[in-house]
Amino acid sequence: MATGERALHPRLTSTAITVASLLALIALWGVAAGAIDTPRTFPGPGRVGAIMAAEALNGKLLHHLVPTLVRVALAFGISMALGVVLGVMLGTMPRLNRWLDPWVVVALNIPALVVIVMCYLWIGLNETAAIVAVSFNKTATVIVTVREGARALDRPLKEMAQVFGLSRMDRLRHVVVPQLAPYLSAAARNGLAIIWKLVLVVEFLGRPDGIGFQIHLYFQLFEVPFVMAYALAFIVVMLGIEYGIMQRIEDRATRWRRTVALDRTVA
Amino acid sequence: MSVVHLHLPGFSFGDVPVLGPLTLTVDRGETLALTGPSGIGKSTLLRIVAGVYPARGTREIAGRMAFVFQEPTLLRWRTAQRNVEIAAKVSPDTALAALTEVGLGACADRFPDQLSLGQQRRLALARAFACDPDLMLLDEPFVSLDAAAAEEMMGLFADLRARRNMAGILVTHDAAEARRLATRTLTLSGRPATVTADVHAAA
Repeated sequence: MATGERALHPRLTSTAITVASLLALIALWGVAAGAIDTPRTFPGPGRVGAIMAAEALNGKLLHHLVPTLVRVALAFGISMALGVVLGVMLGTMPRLNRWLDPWVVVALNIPALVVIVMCYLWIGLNETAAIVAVSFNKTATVIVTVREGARALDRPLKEMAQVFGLSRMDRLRHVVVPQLAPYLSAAARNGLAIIWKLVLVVEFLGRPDGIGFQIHLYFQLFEVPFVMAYALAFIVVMLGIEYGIMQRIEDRATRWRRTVALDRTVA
Repeated sequence: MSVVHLHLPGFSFGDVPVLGPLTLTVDRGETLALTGPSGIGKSTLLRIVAGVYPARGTREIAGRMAFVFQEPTLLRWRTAQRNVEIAAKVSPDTALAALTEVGLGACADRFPDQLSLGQQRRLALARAFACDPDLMLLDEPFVSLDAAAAEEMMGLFADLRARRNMAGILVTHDAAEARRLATRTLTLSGRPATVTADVHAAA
């Protein structure tokens, strides 16, 4: 039976589809580049790949990739931590939320570029300003997502935990976090996607290293193949993190759902 | 001696008075049935006894308490056995024994969504039994069980009560259920609701 087969290798099949889909995208790019035939402004995957390989071998790629990844990691950690704490607070305290909701809306609607420029002007052209700017931009969206999750927390389960006298730690581990899990993973995913794009802008505007800095440099030199090589290298790394880490964590957190679904299919 | 002693000057949700002044005492070995029309405040009173709704007045509970809710109210992301372990704070062996007692021994590794509603209710009972309570609060726990299953669950409850000499408060609409299990029946009526009848079953 087809369902039985799929149940045996769900990960294998989905990985194969992902890889095939990405290869198709690269092929499409190659065909388009060949048809347009202006290698200086729109190089094909072969030329960009060759530059990536050369930059990786001479060490420049790593030299710029590492600072960017560190900035992404720091901003991600800060905005998730702040966003989760504030989101849970606002989601569970309606009175506080009534007062602070307008602030969240304001924060959501300040253009990222304005925050970045203001941070550089106020804090200075330094690492702190870069991290603060990116974290600020992202925290508001984490708050909104987690607040939804905190509002949806099941009231009867809360009463159950109270009546049975669950410890604070047990409530968090067994009652609250499993209910927030889908919201946390949505916040983390969108978070990562937005943050790495913002980090490139921050680097473009005022950092002496990083992928964004390299893109700025080759933009000024009008070296399109290099711009694309650095951008692509970073996209590859982020795709690796997305598929290698985020999806695995999500798979584990939602195991109970899938076990049930599988059970229903079989039955 | 009494396991529950509650003295309530009254209770309101916001501006809406739900319960009038009342005093409630339940002794060890006694099972109190709370009856009255729907929406009168029986479940509210049970939650005040449980301490879920904070209320003015005095509330004294001697010993451990367990609650069987109207809905199973399970952790859907934990297996049946883990549900019992976490809530009752017991070892895996004790949890398994409690599950076996209600006929769920073979379902210990299942998640609640993989159980039928009847099985989920049994799991909620097993969770309460595993607490080894001095006071058991039950909010219409046998609703939507078929007659045979309800009878079996009532038997289990009666056994545990005899073994532990525990006190119980049972919210029910069902007069037969009250007759079968309760040693005393309290009827709530009026608005705000007060106790209008307190009948001890003939021993």
